[in-house]
Amino acid sequence: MAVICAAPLMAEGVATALDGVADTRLLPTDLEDLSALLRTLAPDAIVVDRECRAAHVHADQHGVPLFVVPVEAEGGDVPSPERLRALVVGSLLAVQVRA
Amino acid sequence: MPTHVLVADPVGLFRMGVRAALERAGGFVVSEAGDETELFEEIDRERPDLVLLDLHLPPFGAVAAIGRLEAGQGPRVIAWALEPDGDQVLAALSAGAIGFLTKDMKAESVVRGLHTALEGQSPIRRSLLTGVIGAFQNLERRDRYGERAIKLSSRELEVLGLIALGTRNRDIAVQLDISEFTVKRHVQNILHKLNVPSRDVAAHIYRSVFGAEGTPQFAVTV
Repeated sequence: MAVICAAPLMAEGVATALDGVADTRLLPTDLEDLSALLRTLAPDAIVVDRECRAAHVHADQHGVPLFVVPVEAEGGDVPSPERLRALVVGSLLAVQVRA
Repeated sequence: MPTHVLVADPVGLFRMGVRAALERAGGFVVSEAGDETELFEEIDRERPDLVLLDLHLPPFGAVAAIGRLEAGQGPRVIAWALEPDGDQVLAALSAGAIGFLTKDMKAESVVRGLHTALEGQSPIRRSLLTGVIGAFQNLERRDRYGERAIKLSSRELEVLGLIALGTRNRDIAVQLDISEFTVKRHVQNILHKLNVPSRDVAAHIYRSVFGAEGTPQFAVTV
């Protein structure tokens, strides 16, 4: 699973929340060729903490679940660690069933 | 003796990341709060040394929470946000925060900031300083201009407000139902009272004090 975050502490929180559920690769958003790296890593799911075009394109093209977890709630809903864990497990199972 | 840090932030995933980073760094005990109610409960229960306080902590934000903390002689507070502007940083510091960090900092930098605070200094991310200085200068300018603007009569303020909107003397006269000669006299008085050389500068002062929309923000003496 790829965790692409502008805030390293958010990436760390996501990785901690998914500990035991997924192997996480933490990637900064400003990597030069993120698209190529995602193709190489071929993640089962992607988590981002802000708009990330490369992640969206990869998710669309490869049918990979994409989760957005903003660092600041700003009145919106940010999933709790437990909810993110459940969402990721559910989506990974769904992918396996479809395969 | 470990340093007790209270992380007050509505986003559980972010709190979890901060906790993991501080515990890995060592020397810290971490507790968490998701809103202002939990913040004060944790402060009463845990007596933290430092609080890392999200600028947008529900329900009223960090500035309101810091105001309450200061009144109660609470712990030292470092506010933070993802991309704060200078006004927000200045407001938090004015309310009583001892420092301001940003939430996109690496864990090592945050730990360094906490150690800086423990040494009695103020951790402020370097990239925020330009914005803070700008906000401070704007505040000073608004105060200074406000002192001058308060000398104007309500009619002069009306005239100046229209000047700030780019209205010409002839049109001001029509709008206020006065002669153009009277408008010119008002303009002369405005320039004299504000001690400025031109109507453009006077208009700039008006916009600085009352905002771009030209709506007075305080009661004006006649």
